[in-house]
Amino acid sequence: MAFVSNRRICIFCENSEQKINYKEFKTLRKFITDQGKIIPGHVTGVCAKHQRHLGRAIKQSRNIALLPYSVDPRHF
Amino acid sequence: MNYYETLYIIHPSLESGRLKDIILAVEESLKKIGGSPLAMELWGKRKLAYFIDKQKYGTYVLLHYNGEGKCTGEFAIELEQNPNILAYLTTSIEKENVLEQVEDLDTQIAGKTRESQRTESSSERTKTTETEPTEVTTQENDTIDATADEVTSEGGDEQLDPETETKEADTSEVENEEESVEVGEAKADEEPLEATENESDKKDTADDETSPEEDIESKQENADETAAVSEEE
Repeated sequence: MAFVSNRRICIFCENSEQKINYKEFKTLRKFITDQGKIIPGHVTGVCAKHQRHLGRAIKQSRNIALLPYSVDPRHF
Repeated sequence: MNYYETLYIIHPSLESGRLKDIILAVEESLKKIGGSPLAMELWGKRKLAYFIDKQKYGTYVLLHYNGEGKCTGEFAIELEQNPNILAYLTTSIEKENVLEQVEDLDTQIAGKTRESQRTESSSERTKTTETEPTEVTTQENDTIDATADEVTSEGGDEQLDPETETKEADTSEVENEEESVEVGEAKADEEPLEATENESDKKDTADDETSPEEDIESKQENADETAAVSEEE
């Protein structure tokens, strides 16, 4: 049986034009849960380097109220 | 000399005139500190992800500037002391990422106010479109009634035989005796016209008044028939 790799390729490594910035909160919203938690890289397939950048950008967006710190699960 | 960008949120109650004053005051304070503003972008009023100072909305303004490293700390103190600024975030950027100032502050403020007016007008339009169909239906009903009245009145004018008119009026009176008599008496008091015209008017009014009752009776009959058919089945 041939070995089939399930490893996902980081979308930021694939597409170098897509920058991680705290102002692009619409793209960052894909990497947080409904409660506002940051999704780990092994779930989304983002590499360690870009996961660090993502975490920093998400925290900056939270600071300026573009993204929520936390959402009460009773509200959705 | 480094390049920085500051994104700050202005209180949502400030509109075009006072908003411009606040933005200009912030730029002046930056110039006093030693920085030089390069570009300014107004994002407009946005909903905040969470409440800041009990405010649900805020006006976002992005400011790019360059200066020495110490100017950011002093600029942060200035923003902190300004009561109209809810929050701010300063980050360092590369020179390549500095925005080019395309539009003036006035045009940006005017554009954002136009957008807000459009959104308000669109919401009003949706409200009006929700209310319009009912008005149209009422108008249509009125027009239909008016046309029906015209048709009946024309028919009454064409039928000049007094005997047939009296017969029809009698039949209508039998169906609805009290109302037709009352209407006839009222019209006789108001308009002392010839007997034939009064009779034709009586017929029209009686037809108009009895038509809905006849419809109800016919509906009841149809309902009874359908019930009987269902029982037989």
